[in-house]
Amino acid sequence: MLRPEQKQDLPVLRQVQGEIPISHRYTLGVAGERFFKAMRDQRQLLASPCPKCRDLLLPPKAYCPRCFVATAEAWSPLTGPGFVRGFTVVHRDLDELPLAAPEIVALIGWPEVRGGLVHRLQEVEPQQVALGMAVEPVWATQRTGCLADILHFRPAANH
Amino acid sequence: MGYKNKVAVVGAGLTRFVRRALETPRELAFAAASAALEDAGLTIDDIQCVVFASASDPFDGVHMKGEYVADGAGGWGKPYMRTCLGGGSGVMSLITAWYHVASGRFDTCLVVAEEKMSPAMPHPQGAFNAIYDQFIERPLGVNLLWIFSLEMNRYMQAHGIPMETFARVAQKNKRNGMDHPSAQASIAGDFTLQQILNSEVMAWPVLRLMVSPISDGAGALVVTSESFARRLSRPPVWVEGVGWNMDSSYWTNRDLAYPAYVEKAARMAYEMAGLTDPRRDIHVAEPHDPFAYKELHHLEGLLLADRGQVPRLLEQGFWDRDTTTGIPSSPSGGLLGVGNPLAASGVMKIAEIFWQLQGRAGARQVRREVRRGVAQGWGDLMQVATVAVLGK
Ligand SMILES: [Zn+2]
Repeated sequence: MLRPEQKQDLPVLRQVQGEIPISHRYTLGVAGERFFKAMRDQRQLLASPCPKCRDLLLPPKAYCPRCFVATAEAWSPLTGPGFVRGFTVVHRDLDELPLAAPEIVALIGWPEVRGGLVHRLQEVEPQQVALGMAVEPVWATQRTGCLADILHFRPAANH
Repeated sequence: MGYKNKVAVVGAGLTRFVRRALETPRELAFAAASAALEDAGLTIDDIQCVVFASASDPFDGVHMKGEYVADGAGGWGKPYMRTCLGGGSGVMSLITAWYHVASGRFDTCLVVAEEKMSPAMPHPQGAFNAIYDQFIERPLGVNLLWIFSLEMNRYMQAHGIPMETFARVAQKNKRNGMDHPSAQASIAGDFTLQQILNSEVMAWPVLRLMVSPISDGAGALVVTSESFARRLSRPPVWVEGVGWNMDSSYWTNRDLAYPAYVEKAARMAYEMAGLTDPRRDIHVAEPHDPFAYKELHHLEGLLLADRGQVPRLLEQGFWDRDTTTGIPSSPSGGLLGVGNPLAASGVMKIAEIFWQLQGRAGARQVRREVRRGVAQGWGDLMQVATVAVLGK
């Protein structure tokens, strides 16, 4: 017999507060060091080429997951705008609380790469976003070598 | 017993073990996997399935670590699974690969074990704290070392073993580790017994130089069926027996002086391998040695010495790498001499037996003739044993 679900009276139940007492410091890795350094210093997005299948990988990796060989030394900066391959409009935050204003999050691809980036899309209304829309990064003036060096993407000028 | 395939190890590879790796967990896995494939003379296209092993998600700081690492472990677009028994994961990953291939379903399996402990701040201990009971033990501010100090002291009291004996184990393994290219800086070395005995008390009787370090690293193995292995140029090493066993995960319910679960796992593996006298039939051993006393504890559990007799044999050099009449134990340097990226250190031990049996251990090659060896993993909540018998 299954017990019926009961509403638990939380103030009456004895509970113990706890956490896993740990936080983390992540290294960027071999590929990450180079990718984020180019964002910080050159405002460039780099993709790494696989010497076997010739694909350009974004985010760049130290190895091609498909061919399982190290990627080539010479990485290529992306030229031209990215294109919206998918998007959503987010209304609630991590804790399910309503956002002050809905945020557009887009999956952005470039014609020459395998992969892409997920980032915020701003300077555009949700109802104006369409698949295939050309977008460009808006760079922060103070850059530290992290994802936030790109403030967001916006519709590309001249497209 | 009706296994479809006899199973072989045909390649092994390791990264260097380090205190803090620049490489991401994926990049560590890729380095080890590539090295193992190269060692076997194979490429990812020869691999039909992948087994990944890693102990604890909170070390790397990635929830569902197995899925995160998958493409660095060669698991992209292949049947892939993670095996997890904490510190016992490395040897368990070979056992998992063994049943993938023994079943007849696969001819080749790539095994990759990775652990990156350095992201955990302020100390990986914080993750271990949460293995204990929230109500009974955590209010005490329990530290992982408590288990080991209680267990080590019970073992010492049961057999009247002096501290010098444990210093001798640390000395042996740290010396052996000096010849291992993967050894973590400052872990291996020629330490005097006095240096070891004078190292700081962590939780008495566990001293600093009797504990393995915090490490980042990865290891990999290539496992194949007999028919596949016979096509390769190098003679394969066979997985002759596998065994694993779990004691109560509640520490008050275990016999701290003797690891009975190690004996059960060992008997399972020996029986499968058809061994009747392990002291005669096992020629080299890699017991799990995250603590100096653990090597002795485990050599007893592996039935390679009578209970309480391991220290006496240690004095006689029975476990030394250059013994001609004994059983060399941890010729790699073990976790005390090479490092302890948990799951990866188990694979390091299997790799050592593999290279020893192929006569490819270089400066670490044992002096006596070896036809069969045993690698043993241990850990989880300090109650699991995983055992693999390899032979040529
Ligand atoms: Zn490729």
